[in-house]
Amino acid sequence: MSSNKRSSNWQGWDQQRNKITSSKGGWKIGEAVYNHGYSMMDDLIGQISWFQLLVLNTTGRLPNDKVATWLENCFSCLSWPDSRIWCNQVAALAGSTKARPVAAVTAGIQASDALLYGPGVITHCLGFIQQARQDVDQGKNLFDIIQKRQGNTLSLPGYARPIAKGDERVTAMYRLSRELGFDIGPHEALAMEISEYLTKEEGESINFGGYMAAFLADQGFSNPDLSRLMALWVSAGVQACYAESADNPAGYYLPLQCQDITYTGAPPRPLPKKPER
Amino acid sequence: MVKNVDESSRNDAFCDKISTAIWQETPSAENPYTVNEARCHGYEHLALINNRSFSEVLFLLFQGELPTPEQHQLLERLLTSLIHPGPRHNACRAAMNAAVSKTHVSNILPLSLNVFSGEQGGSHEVFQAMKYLQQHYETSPLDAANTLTKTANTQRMNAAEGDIMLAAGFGTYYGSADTYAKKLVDNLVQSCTAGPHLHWANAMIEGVKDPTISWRIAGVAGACLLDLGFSPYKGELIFQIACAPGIAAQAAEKADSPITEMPFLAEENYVIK
Repeated sequence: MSSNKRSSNWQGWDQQRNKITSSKGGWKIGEAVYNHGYSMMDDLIGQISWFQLLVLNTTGRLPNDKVATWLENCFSCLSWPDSRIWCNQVAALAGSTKARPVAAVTAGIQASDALLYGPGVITHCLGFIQQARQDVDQGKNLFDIIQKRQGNTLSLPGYARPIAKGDERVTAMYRLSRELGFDIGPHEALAMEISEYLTKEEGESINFGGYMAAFLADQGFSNPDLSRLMALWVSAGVQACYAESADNPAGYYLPLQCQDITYTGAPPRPLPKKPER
Repeated sequence: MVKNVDESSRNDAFCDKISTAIWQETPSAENPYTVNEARCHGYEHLALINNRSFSEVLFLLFQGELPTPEQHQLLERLLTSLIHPGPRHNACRAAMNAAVSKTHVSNILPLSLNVFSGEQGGSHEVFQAMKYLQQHYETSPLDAANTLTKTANTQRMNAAEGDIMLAAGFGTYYGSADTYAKKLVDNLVQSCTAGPHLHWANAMIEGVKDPTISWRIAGVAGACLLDLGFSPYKGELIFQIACAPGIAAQAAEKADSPITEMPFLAEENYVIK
């Protein structure tokens, strides 16, 4: 491709034309597929898990199998086969229109990028616990931090959740963390301390997003890596709800009669004559 | 150890039925699932089909009332201004790549609109541009221009790579002023009744003392959509709808083409660091 001679303003773009420079790796045709310097077929296949590969490809770091196992279970925790859950319902609705699996599952995953749950909350959870730890390290009183934040009507990301109190996943993953031999790190310890305070004061507690963010912060994960890693977090639950719905006749998932929608808008009115300009 | 916590239901008062003020379906006598009559904000759907344009009904759907002739003209011209983001846009390239690799046609527009969702050059830039205009349009456009000029200078001194986007919707485009976005704005201002956001943003850009800083497409769309009464949330959705035809057409053009109809970078141009 020819280069434009007057390129002072767009030199940066010109340097990228018709060229890909990747630190991730790629396919050298006839030679190998490389992932961050590893030869996929020689070094990785049969030797590492898919979750280790996911972390390697996303962050450039190959985690040990314990971290990968923890992450895999973390994904399981957000994969409930209950189609009342918002992202799952999206996939179930897609199944009921006989949408293709990829369309339905990606629709469900996209729905999970939300402010109330799912991957959309990770940045806030991680940011909160990292800031809280910084504040505490600088000598600020933890309970002042919490009260000030709540007093400003700011939520505490990673605490409380919709529909139910508590979070059974925290108990399960806390147990797994210890079974895998992970020590309690500073973020996890602080997160649980905040949780205990909230339980005592308000009957609320840490949610799974808050626990996950704190644990993984202790393992050296930060944003944007973490929010990228969790993009498919809900996928197995979405799959379940799509599959069940798609196996049923079209339209059988929560069908609505006309009267099942309450109309609250303008009453019937005649269409006005089109005004002349 | 995790202390015992209450895991009971919050017993939230969820509604029993979906409600909407947009669309009313009256069931037929024969089957409660089939529709005898449909109305949009009170107007009979069939009457709208026969007497109003697509853009008028689009406006009605989101705003609850039909547009005035001035609003209709601005919306119609804005929609046509935005109808194609250009074949170089990443969303179009995604659509064409998917088309030649024989991606199922049902997935083409959704996947392309995903690519089109970004904060720079995508639909979320429109959302953010509308937020910026909402926050600033009652202030002096000259003050805003001076702030943008100073910010541009700072970013240049820091040798930031890529485009300078001082406020969403306003900045450089491939390092320069986006000449085509400016043409679109000028055309809309000359041919339609521009509202306060479009006037404010025009005055603001004219006050920026940097010839490379100008309108970006998202700024054009955002200002017009605010003048039409759309919120940033609605505005981003309208922008996606507006640009979808061009993206879809690019895919359709390539649908029957071989995979070689799109570039696959040569080995020597793919560099692994």
